[in-house]
Amino acid sequence: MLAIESLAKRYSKKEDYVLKDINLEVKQGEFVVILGTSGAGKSTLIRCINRLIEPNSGQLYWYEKNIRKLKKNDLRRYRRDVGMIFQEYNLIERLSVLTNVLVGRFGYLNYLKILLQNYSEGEIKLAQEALARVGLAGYETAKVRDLSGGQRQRVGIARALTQEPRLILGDEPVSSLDPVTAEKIMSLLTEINQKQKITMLISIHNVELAKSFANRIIGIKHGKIVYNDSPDNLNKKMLERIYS
Amino acid sequence: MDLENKKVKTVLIISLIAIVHLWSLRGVGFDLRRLLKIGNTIEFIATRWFPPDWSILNKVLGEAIITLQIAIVGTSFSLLVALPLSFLAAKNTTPWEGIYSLVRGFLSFLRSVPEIVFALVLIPALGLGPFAGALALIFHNIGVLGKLISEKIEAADKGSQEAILSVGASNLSVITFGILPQIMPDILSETFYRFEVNIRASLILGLIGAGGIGQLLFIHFRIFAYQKVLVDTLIILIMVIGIDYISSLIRTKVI
Ligand SMILES: Nc1ncnc2c1ncn2[C@@H]1O[C@H](COP(=O)(O)OP(=O)(O)O)[C@@H](O)[C@H]1O
Ligand SMILES: [Mg+2]
Repeated sequence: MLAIESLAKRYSKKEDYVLKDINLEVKQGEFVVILGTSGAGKSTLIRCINRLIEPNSGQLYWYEKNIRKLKKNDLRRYRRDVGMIFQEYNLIERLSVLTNVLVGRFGYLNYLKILLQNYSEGEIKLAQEALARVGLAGYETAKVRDLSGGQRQRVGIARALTQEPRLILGDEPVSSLDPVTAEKIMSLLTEINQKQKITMLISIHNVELAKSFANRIIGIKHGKIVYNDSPDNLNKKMLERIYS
Repeated sequence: MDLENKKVKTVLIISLIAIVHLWSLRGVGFDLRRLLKIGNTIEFIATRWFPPDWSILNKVLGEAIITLQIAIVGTSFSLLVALPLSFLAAKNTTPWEGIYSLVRGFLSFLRSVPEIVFALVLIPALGLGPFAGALALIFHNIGVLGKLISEKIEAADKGSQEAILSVGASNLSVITFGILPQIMPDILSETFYRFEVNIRASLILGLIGAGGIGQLLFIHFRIFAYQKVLVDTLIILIMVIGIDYISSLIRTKVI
């Protein structure tokens, strides 16, 4: 579904490339985990995929469509297909859980409807189902700032689900959570991956967590892919290659 | 050696502060002997300002309300204009660099021109009265609020903005839901603070004929009606203290 070819990115002409010649394919239904030290380029790679960051060269294809050529409205339409969850959840703190989840519909609605919060019954139902899916049924009117970290990430996942994506990107979505909660969130993502057939491409800090949940692991070091294989083959030597 | 250096530096700094102050005191003609004559002022107030002439209370209250209205209009309309301008004057939301510099420059111009100068310029065209005063406040406060709000926009946390953009939302939606909810408390708080400042400013504008209780006070002074001046002053005091109290209550408790 997603193909990345010779992707390169540097933040300024004076600095080195933080992504160098990235080639990667993601197939529908996969659960791919990206591993790498901090500064390896995981966040940059993930943001290049939905063009929150513009790469300098290389190509991106989404079902054969060239993503790098997309203009405003087509780019917005493409982004609807690609959900994203974040390490710091990135919710609107002062607003209610339901309002945050409905943000997932912003790619589908015109501005006036968004401004007036004028959602259809179907859309509200979609948001409520997403909340039930992540185990937060009944939390609609709660304020985000009153929630725990794990609950916030669940709201983040519900927001992504509400946009009805085919792929969910995750930039270290469990790195700010305690180990037990992190595992629960990973299980939830796995369940969504298997039952709703939503493909996952997620970066993770913790190697054990990556091994137990991924179908495939991508190791990145200094902006280059140094491992791209099943978690079973990720032995000590390979780990050294990623983390040394 | 280091210690010596430090001592020399301290002595230099203290001398510099002393020189600046002696120079300034000379400039203002500061004179202790004349300061002693302040007793005359007290005696003057005691004999000439009392008893207060309450017969004009209704008129004074009417003018106080006009002052209040000048400040209300001067504050809310400046917010109304400043808010959209600030998004043009913030690096992360401006449509392009040229607009950014232009609006920024315009805002700092408005901010650097004091209210009273705007009023002096406006009065010949608009005539004396509260309208010129309110307009002067609006011009100056667009500059003040615009700079402040655009800085808040630039400092707003990027996280929720990024998330809203990632779902396929438009830039306008990102501003409405990613930025505004974050900066709204600061904007409201600052607006109430500007309201307090504008009450005082509109008193001063009254002196040059821009209406309200300030103008009444000035007229009474000029015709030596000190017992009326006392009533003006008391009402001003009550109004300023009351509004500062209510406004700071709103700023700390509600927002
Ligand atoms: N906005 C930016 N401007 C300049 N350099 C950046 C920016 N974001 C990241 N970098 C640099 O790019 C490199 C890769 O960063 P990042 O993609 O965040 O890595 P990771 O997510 O794996 O920790 C780092 O050296 C980082 O300092
Ligand atoms: Mg990162």
